[in-house]
Amino acid sequence: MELKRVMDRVYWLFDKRRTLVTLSAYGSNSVYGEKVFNVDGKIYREWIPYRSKFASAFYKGLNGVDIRDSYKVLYLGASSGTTVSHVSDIIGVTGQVYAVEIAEEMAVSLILLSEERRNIFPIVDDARKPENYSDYVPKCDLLYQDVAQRDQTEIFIKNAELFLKSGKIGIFAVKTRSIDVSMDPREVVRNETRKLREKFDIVREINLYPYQKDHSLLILRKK
Amino acid sequence: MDNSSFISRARKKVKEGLSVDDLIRKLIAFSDSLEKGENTIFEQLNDLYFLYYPEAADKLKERDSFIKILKESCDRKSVSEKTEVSAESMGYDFEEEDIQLLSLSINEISNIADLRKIVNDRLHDIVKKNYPNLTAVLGAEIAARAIYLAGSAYSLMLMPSSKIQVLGAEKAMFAARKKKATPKYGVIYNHELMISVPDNLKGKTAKIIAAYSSLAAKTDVLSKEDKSGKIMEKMLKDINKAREKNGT
Repeated sequence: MELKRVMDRVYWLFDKRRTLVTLSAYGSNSVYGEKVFNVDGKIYREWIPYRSKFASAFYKGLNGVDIRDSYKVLYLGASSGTTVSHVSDIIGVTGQVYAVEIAEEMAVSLILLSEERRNIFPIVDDARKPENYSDYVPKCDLLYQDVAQRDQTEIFIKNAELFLKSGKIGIFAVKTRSIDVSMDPREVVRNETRKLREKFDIVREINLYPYQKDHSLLILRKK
Repeated sequence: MDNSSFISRARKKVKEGLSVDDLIRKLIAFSDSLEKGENTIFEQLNDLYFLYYPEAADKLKERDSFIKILKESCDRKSVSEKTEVSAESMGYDFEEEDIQLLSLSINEISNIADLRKIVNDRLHDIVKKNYPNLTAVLGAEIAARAIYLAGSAYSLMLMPSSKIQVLGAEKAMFAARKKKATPKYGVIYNHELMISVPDNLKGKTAKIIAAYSSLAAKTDVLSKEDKSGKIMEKMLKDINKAREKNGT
């Protein structure tokens, strides 16, 4: 097995096919049933593109974003913590990922995960109301959002204004089907980027097909 | 920095956020899959029985009668007595072990049916206890289903009654985006009052029931008082008025 570095703590693992892996920051436990590899005594966890939009972006040609050791990350729409666990790998034990999830049942697995991975800070709240958690969330180096709501762009802008340091990266998963079912997906993305342009530079837009249907990942830099 | 304060805050939030609506939702989903499983097993079992005794299997296409008749014993002799089908069969002669296997499976499916009944009874009790007004208007089964479709009683309460009217008819509602008429009713169609109403009044009746279930949901969630008598009286009056106007 051969490793090729993509960015800090993220690698391609070549073994017949290429697999995206993250260097585990917390032991060798599998979090959601993903494969775990042991290469030269180090533990790597498979990052499955069908489960995580962030991972599928790497499969679609993304070769690094500004996220590294000790970063503070605000993660909206954490769900049960699949992608969060990999973000927690990347930022390492000294980083902090603030994971916001509104659905109680999903949050349960997230909370259990955060008991194992002490760099995950679970917040059970509505991302529409960032003022609810602004008291205890600091300014962050990265904002990641995957909420699949009709007003997801507004949610993103609101949170970025409150928590994202300027010049830093925001990652925004657009689910075109939740914004408008009948509109052409490309049109939807164009409309949303127009709204975002005021406050962000658009670094990159990645269509996540075939790993995720009707999804695009926007990489933005706050002005 | 330590995340334990976040964990305890989040734990508290989850505990507060879970409610009886979640139990209702899960029980409905459970009951639905039990029924689905029951049907699939029954189909396979009927098919299996067909091989052994096609004459009887053909007569016992109904799940409940199939279980009832075959539960005690399923060999040709005793079944032929109960169903009045001739014991002379053109089916394949099973060995004793195969017949035992059959009766074991029939026992299992009957257990599932019993379990589903227990689940449903409990579900109806919960709905009745927590949402007396809504139960009075819709009946426990439909009230539970409406809460399930809305997500929670609170979001059901927030819905306009026109949306409650078509709850459960989402597919037809989306089809209405492309020509086609909008649906007149969703889960409300199974309401006991809808059965007795003539066809041309069904839409109107559904509208009235939806309006009053919206009122009932608001009463249940906001005041928590049991005003079902009053609400029902008004609703029946409205429906009767509509019927009189229609001349039936």
